[in-house]
Amino acid sequence: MSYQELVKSVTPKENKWKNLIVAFLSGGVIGAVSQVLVSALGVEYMMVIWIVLASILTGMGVFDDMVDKFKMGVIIQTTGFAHSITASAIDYKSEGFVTGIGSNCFKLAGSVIIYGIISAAVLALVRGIL
Amino acid sequence: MLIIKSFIFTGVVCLIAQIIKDNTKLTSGHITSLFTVAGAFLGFLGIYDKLIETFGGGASVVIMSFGNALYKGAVELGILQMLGKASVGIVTAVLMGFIISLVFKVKD
Repeated sequence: MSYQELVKSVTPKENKWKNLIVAFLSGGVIGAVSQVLVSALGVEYMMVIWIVLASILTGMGVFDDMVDKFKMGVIIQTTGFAHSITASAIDYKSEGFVTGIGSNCFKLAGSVIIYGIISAAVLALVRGIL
Repeated sequence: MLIIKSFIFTGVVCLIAQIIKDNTKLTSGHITSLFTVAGAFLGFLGIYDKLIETFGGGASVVIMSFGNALYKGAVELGILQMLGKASVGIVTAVLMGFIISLVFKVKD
């Protein structure tokens, strides 16, 4: 058996179809609950509730397990954004308030904010020109 | 009815993200950034507000709505004031991230 074959036989196979179904269902549940929250409390409170919940679950270490199980189903929403900030803040806490939490909490969320702002600025400029 | 539509919309968005994740080398960070930019672009085309109208909360909870909110802020309030509508998410996430990091430690 060649080395590649050995590696292939030992690597656990991820069931892609199962991943897709799980991502669809877990994402769907979050979407449905969001709609309930929006009609009961409004969009802003819906956001706040998800962010608070995701941050607390991240702090308790539950969110990482959820990411393992539900994959992109919990990442692509606002929950994933909140998770990335809280997770980085906790991970770098030991390096201090400024060099640890302060300079690392946007480690992952930073790219969402930066490219969101840049694309919005460019598109708004384009709209102004047209 | 809107609840079912929300379920389907968010589900499909997550499904697309999962397909991208499984078949490319892009990380979750790449994919969320990509979806944010896509949301701004859909806002630019005037599509995203219609999506929110049609699919309700499901369209507001995905990260694409962040991009859309930035674009709408840039148009309505001015480019330098664009955070207007998107501010809720950022500020809440920062406050919670800081508070939680004070309370919890890294899980072993």
